[in-house]
Amino acid sequence: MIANNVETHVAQRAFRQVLEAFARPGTIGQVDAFPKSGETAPVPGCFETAVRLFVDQAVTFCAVGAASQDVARWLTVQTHAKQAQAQGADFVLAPVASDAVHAEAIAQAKPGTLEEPEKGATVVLLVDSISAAPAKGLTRLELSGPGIEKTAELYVSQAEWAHARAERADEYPCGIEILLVDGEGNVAALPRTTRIENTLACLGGSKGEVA
Amino acid sequence: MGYVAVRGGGLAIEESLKLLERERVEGSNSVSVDAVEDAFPGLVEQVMGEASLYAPRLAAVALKQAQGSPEEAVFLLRAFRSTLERPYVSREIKGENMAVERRISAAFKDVLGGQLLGATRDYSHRLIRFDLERETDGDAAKVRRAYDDELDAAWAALSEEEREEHRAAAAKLKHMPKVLDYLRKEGLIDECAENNDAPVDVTMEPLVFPAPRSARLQTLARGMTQGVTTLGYAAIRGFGPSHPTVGELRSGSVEVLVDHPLADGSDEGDAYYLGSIPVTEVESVFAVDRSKEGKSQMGFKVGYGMVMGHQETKAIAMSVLDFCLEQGDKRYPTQDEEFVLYHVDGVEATGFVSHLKLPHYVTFQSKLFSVRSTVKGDEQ
Amino acid sequence: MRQLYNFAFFDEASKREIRRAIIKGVSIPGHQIPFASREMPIGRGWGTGGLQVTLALIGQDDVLKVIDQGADDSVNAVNIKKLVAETTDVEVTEKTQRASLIQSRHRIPEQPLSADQILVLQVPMPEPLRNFEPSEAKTRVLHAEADYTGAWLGLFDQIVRYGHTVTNADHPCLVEGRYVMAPSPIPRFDTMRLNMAQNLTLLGAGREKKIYAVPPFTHVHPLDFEDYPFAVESFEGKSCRLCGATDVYLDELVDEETGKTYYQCNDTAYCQQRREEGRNE
Repeated sequence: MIANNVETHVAQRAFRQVLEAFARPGTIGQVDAFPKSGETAPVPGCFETAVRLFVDQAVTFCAVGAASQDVARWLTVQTHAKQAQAQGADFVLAPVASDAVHAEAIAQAKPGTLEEPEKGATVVLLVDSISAAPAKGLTRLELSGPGIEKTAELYVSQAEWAHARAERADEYPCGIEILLVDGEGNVAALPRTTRIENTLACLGGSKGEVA
Repeated sequence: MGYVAVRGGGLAIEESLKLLERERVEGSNSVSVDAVEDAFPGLVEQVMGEASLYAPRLAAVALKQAQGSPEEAVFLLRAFRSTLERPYVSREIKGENMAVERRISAAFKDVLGGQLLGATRDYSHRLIRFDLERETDGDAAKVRRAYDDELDAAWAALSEEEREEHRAAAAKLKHMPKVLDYLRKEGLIDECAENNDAPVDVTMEPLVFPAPRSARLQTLARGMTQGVTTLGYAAIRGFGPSHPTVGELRSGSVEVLVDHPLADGSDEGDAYYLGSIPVTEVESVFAVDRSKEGKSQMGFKVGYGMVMGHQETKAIAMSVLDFCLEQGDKRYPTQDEEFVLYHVDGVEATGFVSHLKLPHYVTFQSKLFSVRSTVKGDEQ
Repeated sequence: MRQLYNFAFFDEASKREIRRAIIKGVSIPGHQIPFASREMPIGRGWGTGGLQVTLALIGQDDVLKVIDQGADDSVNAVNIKKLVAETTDVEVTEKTQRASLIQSRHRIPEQPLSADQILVLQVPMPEPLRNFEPSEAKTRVLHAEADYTGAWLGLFDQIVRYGHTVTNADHPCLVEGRYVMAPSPIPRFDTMRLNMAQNLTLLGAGREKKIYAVPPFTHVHPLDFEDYPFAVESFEGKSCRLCGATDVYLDELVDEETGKTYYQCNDTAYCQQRREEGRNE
């Protein structure tokens, strides 16, 4: 009596990975590319999976950066989701691995209100690389807060969003959630409760010396 | 052997379900789903209305499965509804465009477009018709034929001119003016500011307070039929100072149209017609004080009700409660939206009341501990 | 008329809505996230909140355990487990450590949960402030302003009246120093299991349409006073008649023949495991 289809299971697996990433900031999850139904998506398959986990006709979204028009049109046709200004959108999407685009997305996302902090936006950022280990070109973030026993580490290729997030100075419980996705399907997440400290660029090498 | 709520629960459930199924087929006359649909249209409509799902056939199946219990049938249909995606939102449905089968006003002796009594039990005598006990399909067919023959004969007796008049009148039934427009033109009804917010669907979004009017109306429309009536009655009897006049009650069917997802809906003719649903719409008027700038004056406010099918009492009660909730004076329970909207839902009310049958011994043990500690003194 | 039900019962849009609420719940620990709450094939008040959360989470590789009042084969636990199994074909278990997903009503298992497990608690009344404020609109403002005077006064009043707090199960907790939360009607005995836990706990209230969460490694403190500290139900001097356990939550039963009171582990799976391991001391 069960109707099975691929998308259902891809989405379910992706959700558990994303949930784990939010529940334990610093944990890196893996999502599969969204199964293709015909039309080619203007975003990487894994990014599509992460977005379509949450975005549908019941919510609003805003795509930021170059080609955002194409992304927005494609997503509306695929999901019937409604577009909104970045300041009012439930989901702010930055499908470009660019510090400037990330900063723009983070700066504009809505923080919710004291009565409805859950209305704070979820920002989905495409980055080049997410890693649990240091490597050249990555920035090390030290994380603490709920979900983390003491501290956790995360290495990402773009980290300007972390500064933009700090600059928002949201007053908890208001704030935004950030979901990072790279082209390989790695995902990491930062709920609003996570504190980011000691943001340092890796100099390279396997030991992960930091500046 | 006794029923143990804890261990061996699986077996007990299986046997209980078997017994239930055995009881369902106890009688030797099984009822077909067609028969349920034909014989109990009011019940089918009530179930569809409370379930927020227009599906007469499924409602009839649910009623058969539930052995005629409306609350159980609503439950079945609503749970099924949870498995359906809702990809489209229809165009706005307007009461003015209803194909009217019945239309009455208590406010005026005669109204523009005329009163139309239609089929109603309002003026029937509630005497049991013992002859129905032995009515056969043949008897029913005879009643149908007699009515149709009478109609045909009357039609045949008409001149072509008179027939044309009747045809024109029938066409008008699709665009009946609203009775209350008469009072609106006179400026006696408080104008509502136009509200173009997208309506909230309480089955897709949580109910928040203060609730948008669309959420209120939807919650009332899918509320337990008797529950809505009870609270509406309380409001007009004294627990909420509102005695309305039914400005207009109309029932009939309305068309449901859907736009293409990328269309902007501006082209009137460019929509998909999904079908028609039966509805009853009520506009009740309430006299209210609207004194301003030191000048004592009264006016009217409107309460609105629309429900699926021909549930007229529910529609009227809904219009009363709509007015009450607009007033929002929380000294009266019927004007407190949390009191009304949280408790009018049938599936929620029956679910929570009946959950008291579940074992609660962990919490009771904890309670026992607290109670004993207060009796024994300083045990803690 | 034939109908195929979707994997995990819901259509995908319903799952997305619940998943969005879960993510916000995890991100704002202890804060109740309103959600639409679909109608379920089991009664409102019978675990529909937990069930919806479970169905939004569950996948083919999960192993499910459902308990009600501490027991795996209590009628309602069986009924919920059956519905999930019929719409997903997942493996079910009674062994706590084998389960990846545990849905429970009124208990947290005695066996400490691990990081690989998610606990889903069924919640009848998610609002810890409802006792003294019936209006949802008003309790929302109280939470917004972190105004928990009413909750403290309630406890204080109990102390004045009875000499100590008498909160029974569902003792209100402060989560990460910000939100006062109803931990669901778990006995006070279980409350501290939420504090700095290895596992994620999700709480679902179907009829009241709220989802909230306690992430792993999150501070959960029962409301109490320095001079009247939080105390759990005490079973001092009592032990399980079957496995001899003493440090567990016990059910109080009466022997039909002797009329004497005896005690048994409330967590039936835990008791079973102890007996299998031969720990019948």
